Amino acid sequence: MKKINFNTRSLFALPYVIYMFIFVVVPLFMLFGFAFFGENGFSLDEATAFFTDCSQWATIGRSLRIALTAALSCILIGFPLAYIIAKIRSKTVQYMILMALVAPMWINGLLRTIALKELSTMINFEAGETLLTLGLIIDYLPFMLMPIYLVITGIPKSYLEVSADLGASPMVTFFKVVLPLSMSGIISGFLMVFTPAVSTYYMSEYLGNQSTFMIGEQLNIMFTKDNKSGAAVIALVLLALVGLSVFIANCVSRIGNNKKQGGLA
Amino acid sequence: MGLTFVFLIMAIIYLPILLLVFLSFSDGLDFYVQLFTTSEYMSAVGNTLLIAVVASVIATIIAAMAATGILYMGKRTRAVTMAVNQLPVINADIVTSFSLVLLFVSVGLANFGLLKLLLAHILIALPFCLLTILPKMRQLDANLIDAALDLGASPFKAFTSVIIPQLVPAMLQAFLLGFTLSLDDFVITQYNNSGVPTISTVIYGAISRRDIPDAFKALTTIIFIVILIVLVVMNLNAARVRKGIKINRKLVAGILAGILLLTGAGVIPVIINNLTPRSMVLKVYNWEDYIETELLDEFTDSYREQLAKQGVPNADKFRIEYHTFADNEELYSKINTQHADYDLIFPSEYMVEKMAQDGLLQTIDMTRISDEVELDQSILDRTKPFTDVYDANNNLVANQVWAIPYMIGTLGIMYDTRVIEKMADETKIDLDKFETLLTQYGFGVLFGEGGTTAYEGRITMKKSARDSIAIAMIYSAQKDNNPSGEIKNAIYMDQTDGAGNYDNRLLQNIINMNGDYDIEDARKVLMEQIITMDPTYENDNGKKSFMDPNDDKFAYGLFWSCDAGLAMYELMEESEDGENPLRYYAPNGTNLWTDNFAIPTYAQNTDAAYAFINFLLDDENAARNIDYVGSQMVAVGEAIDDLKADYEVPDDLDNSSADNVDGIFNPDINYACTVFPNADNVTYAAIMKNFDAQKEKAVNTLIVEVQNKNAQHTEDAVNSVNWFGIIIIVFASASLAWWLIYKLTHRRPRLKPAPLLPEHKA
Repeated sequence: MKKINFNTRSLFALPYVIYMFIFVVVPLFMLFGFAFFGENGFSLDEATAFFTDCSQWATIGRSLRIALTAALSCILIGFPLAYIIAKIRSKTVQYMILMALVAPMWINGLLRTIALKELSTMINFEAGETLLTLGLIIDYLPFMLMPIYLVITGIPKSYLEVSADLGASPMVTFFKVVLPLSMSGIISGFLMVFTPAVSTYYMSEYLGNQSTFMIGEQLNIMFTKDNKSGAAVIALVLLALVGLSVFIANCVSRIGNNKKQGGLA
Repeated sequence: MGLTFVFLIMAIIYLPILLLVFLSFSDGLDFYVQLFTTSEYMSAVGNTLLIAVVASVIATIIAAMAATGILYMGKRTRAVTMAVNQLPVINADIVTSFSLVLLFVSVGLANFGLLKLLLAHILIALPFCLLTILPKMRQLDANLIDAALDLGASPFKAFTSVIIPQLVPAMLQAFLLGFTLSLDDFVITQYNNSGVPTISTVIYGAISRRDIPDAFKALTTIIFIVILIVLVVMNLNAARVRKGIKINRKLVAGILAGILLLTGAGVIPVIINNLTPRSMVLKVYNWEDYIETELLDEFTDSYREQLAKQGVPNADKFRIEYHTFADNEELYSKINTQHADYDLIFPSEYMVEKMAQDGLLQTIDMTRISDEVELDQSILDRTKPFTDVYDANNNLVANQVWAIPYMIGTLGIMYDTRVIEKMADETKIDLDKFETLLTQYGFGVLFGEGGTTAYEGRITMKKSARDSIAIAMIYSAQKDNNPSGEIKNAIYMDQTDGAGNYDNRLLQNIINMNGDYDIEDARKVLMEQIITMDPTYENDNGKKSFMDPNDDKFAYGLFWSCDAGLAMYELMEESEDGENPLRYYAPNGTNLWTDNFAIPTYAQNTDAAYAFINFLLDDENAARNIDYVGSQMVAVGEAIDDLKADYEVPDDLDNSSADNVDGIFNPDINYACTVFPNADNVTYAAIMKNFDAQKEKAVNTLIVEVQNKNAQHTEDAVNSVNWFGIIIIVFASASLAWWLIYKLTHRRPRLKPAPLLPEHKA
């Protein structure tokens, strides 16, 4: 394969590489720049101010708790959902149901959030952590559903047949074959839900109350008040949280697979 | 059983949407007419579609090329590329958006409007497009491209005629995914928007003041119908396939053509709009719901005539582009960070000062204001400190101002008589008593004075840092020398100048944290307030809760008079007897706010801006505007006097006396007193000054800190334990731990699996 023109053909990726470099890699370094370099050069003021305030830690903890609840609930709902859909005989019906579950995203996320808020006021359901968690689950369920569905439909039928032939009950097959093989889908789904949930700001603003102040809201306040370095510190904290969750997810999937390679997306 | 579950979930997801669909018909087809006839909404829809389609097409093409290239990359390069690709996928939206803002600001692309949004939306779609296309690419026969190259095709030719055709299904999928993500996005658009209206920004502007714009309920219905059509078409198509008929290419082409046509219908007006010369467009950036919208159309007509008289060609092409913002800081960052080219903006007093200092404003030439316009001199005297222009030698420049006041009002307390009465048994405070407490303690009732701690958990404060902190400063000063906490003896009340008139300099120092007063005073009372009153910090969402007759959560809260006026007006319109349960009271010793006409440095059509200022200050137009918006303008004239007479605005009112309870608290005139601040209020009030960087940072930090503490405090209260979350997390961590332990303890070497049958080699 490498015999001719190795370079020319990988050059097809050049526009992509340039774009990603400018819009992903460079801004990332800018975050560090704004967080640690003030007008007078290098300074840790913003970062110290952030980390020495104990109420900040409470906010981080709260954000983690709400996002974890939402992401784990999404697994509990999303996995059976994906499994049921994947088991439907007609591919068309499968696609139609998936389409129907994803299509609400054509209606802007903000609009759907506010619609949920209207609905909850109408049935006298008080805004707060429960409503917020519910909103996060409803909004991000497609992100959980899709990867799990793709993984489950990717499991060769013969695996299940073999398992049945060897005398395993459907229950055992599910726990010993289907679930372990879907782990990579669950993990990438978890990350896809957890990240937006932990950093949400408009959802907690509209669906939450005074006790659901989240770290994303804090970043947003800093940003709208034009405090770029403060916002950059929080952005880095969020980045670290996400990085940490990816790391943990990787470890889990490694142990789960009994092998070296992770099962990320 | 299984399907029931699927439909249950579907029902939950669609319930809020169906609510909007249902509401969209509550006024016949009016909302639909509104959607298609309001230029702001149409251009928002057009822009959104344009961005979504163009960005996802570009992203799909780049991703298809990248997928080809990545296959031929070295192992290490490929690993790095894929890792970078994962970054925006798993990174938080808000972090991506913010880092993009930093990028655009640093390279000076801030004012690139549509192009900037396009670039940002490509980033939303691109990584997902690549993830969709790459697996399909791997399945392609690599020999095909070699063959094409061997046969003498150029790499480009090989790409377009060998690879693309085979990738079409995957590319369609990628396009659809990118399109969906782009439509759904709010955060990235909001952060990187410099004055291009899109669906999400228009909703955001509207929602903070009132409600979902009715037209967008109609839009939701339309999208919902599109979803239904897509599902039906999928089903029909599958039926054809089952019957052995091949995929009907004509049908697919028809659908694609339909989508393109629909998009075109939305996009073409936008393109035409963008083709209008800038001199034919007036770009206005105002607070949401802060103008009688009919006046905009009337101005457009009258200005067209005026242009036609001057012999300007195509005068009938003139139009207004009217965008809205939610707070001063948003306005500031649009102009300062994003260099938006608005011709006329409406900053508040301290923001005028800040923008003038930062060189973001042009001076307004008073000689270009029509002689027929009459302004209230007493208000102009108050606003002089921030509107006066000085030259380099610190001499006053005649006939030039930084801004002309547009509307004025006060900061005060809005309360819901219904909730106060309902709670009377529990709080031992009836309505009369509460109103007496208001006159006695003023803002003290927000801090638990006079037994109002009984309203713990039932009051609101503003997330807006300057306002909540100004009130805290006033209360702290009021309490300082006067343990009773009453306004009457407050230190700022008995200040007189030589002539025996009230001197507001001390009050001015208090709310601007000068002299003996600093932010620690505010911090102290705000932190105490968290414990005693457990307030909810809100950003205009609170108003909606007050307006909802089924919502009894809040008894009273801190509000701007304009918001209170708007809420009361809406309720009066809705009720049959023209009554409303809301009242507003501004104690003496408050903040007097003004929103002002100002022309930014980046303005490109100042002629039209001056014409518009003159038009709005005309007394008849001003009267209509006041009636609609519910707050006072600086214009004076016959029409406004008539309006005041209509409203029965009392000439003389003692604002501070409990004996006068029948006056200001009388339901018949409370609304009028809200719209037109009474003389006492205006006299005993101070205007906010711009803060230096240090103070500004201090207030912004404090408001975040207060909200952090507040959340922590409420959380600590026993009744707010979230059992649901705890159970889920414990359950999940337990099962994960169990599974990991199981895996770790059962790590036996596996038997070598039997060779798989060829078809199983995945």
